[in-house]
Amino acid sequence: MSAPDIFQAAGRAGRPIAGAVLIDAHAHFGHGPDFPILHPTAKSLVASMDRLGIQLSCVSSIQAIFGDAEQGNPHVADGIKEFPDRIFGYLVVDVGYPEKVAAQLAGGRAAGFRGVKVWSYGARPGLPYNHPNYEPVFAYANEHAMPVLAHVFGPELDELEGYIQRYPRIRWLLAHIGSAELEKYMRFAREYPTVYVELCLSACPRGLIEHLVMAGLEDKIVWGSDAVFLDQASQLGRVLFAQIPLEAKRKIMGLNARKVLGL
Amino acid sequence: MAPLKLIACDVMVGLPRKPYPLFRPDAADLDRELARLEIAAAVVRHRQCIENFPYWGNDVLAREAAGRAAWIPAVCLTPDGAPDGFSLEQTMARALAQGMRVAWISPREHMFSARPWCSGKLYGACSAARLPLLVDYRGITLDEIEEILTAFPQLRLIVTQVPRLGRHRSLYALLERHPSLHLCLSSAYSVHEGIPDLVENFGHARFVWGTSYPEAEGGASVALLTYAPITEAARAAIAHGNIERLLAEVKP
Repeated sequence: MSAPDIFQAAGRAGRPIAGAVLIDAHAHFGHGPDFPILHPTAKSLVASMDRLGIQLSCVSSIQAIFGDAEQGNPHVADGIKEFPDRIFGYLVVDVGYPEKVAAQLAGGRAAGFRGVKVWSYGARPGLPYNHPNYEPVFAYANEHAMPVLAHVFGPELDELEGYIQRYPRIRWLLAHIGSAELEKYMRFAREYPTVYVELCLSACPRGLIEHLVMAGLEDKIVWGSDAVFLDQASQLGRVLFAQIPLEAKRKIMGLNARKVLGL
Repeated sequence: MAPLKLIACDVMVGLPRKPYPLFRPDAADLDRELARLEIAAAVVRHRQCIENFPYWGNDVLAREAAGRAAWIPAVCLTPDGAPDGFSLEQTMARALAQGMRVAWISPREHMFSARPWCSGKLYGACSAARLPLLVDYRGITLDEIEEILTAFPQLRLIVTQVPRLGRHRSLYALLERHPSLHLCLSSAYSVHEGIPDLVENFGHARFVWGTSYPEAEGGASVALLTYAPITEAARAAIAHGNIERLLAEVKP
């Protein structure tokens, strides 16, 4: 008889997860351009984290992603100040305006941001990752050995591959595995020691986590929720109820994130 | 403490012609999923109703559901009724006599207008029988829902696959305007603070729960509800109480 799955039992009962490192590697503050988000604040996110037993959430500003880094990043900086042990900040820079980038990077790091978030295009137009404006961003992250969370929905993988090869001090988190180009995400995770794949996806594809673990990638999978766009509980439920060994769940829920984030 | 009783209201069983790469959602698979996630019962639609002919799919579902106490079959309806009679009245009467307690429509796949000028008789019959009627959010427009519920305010319409669009501007307006509109909340509705906000604004009687089976990992929907910061009474109502009440109120 197999041992009871403590994580599934906790999820079924709605109990906070205990006895495991639990890190949400992909979260946000702020409102989205298309629809209003309910309570998109640090206080509300931390309340959600407490209900689930999440120790740390890694946050970037939605307003910064969608074109106003100068006004958006300070919201995350405020969250870091208010909850220094619970919030890890990803800095976003205005890559469309290269004259701003150097100051935003230096100022952000001084304000306590420890990672970089990049978002190219998708729901809104933006510069592809292979645009030269990204070069100083990734060079800076490489110089300071910062993790980079990259929004990816498939085609962007090719645009990132050159940077992954040239900047070995960056730990890369490729977001939204399962959205498209699954085999390519998996190839990147296998081939590049610095690449990890991140799970958040509203579709919650059935069998995906099991497939990745069966493929030998349990050391390369990182859980993230995309809160406050999405609900942390439902995204965590994908891992809690996944039909994989407990030790693989522990890695996905937080141990792998610790490596990526340099904690 | 006994686990929260769960009834999933949006299940679709059956194998698609193009197989899913990672799972095989046949009847046995559904039974395993219900057991694994400790789900007491499921309102079940059959994929053959959309990949094949709707009334063929209903027959397949009836055969597969026989002997499965946890399955609550949902009958797929069209406004013209089943061939060769093409009598909605006869189709409804026969299905109700055979135990139908919930139905569904798929206007896009079955190429009919969901608007009352085309489907009004169907909505009228469902209203008269107090029959809950499921429709997938992706297969109907919000303007169509507005027209339907304006014309048939007693229709117990349950919208499944409600999307994760935050404080959904149009759905909130529809919920305000139409007290008989119900939403099925599954992992598709992955909204930060979404369930407590819905309950705070509209009470807990108009929401049921689903798993987005087969495409989604059902555990995501379980956690969506078990961790929601709402009262236990509201949680139980959404988990099972509301659909049990709706099914019990059908007038055969």
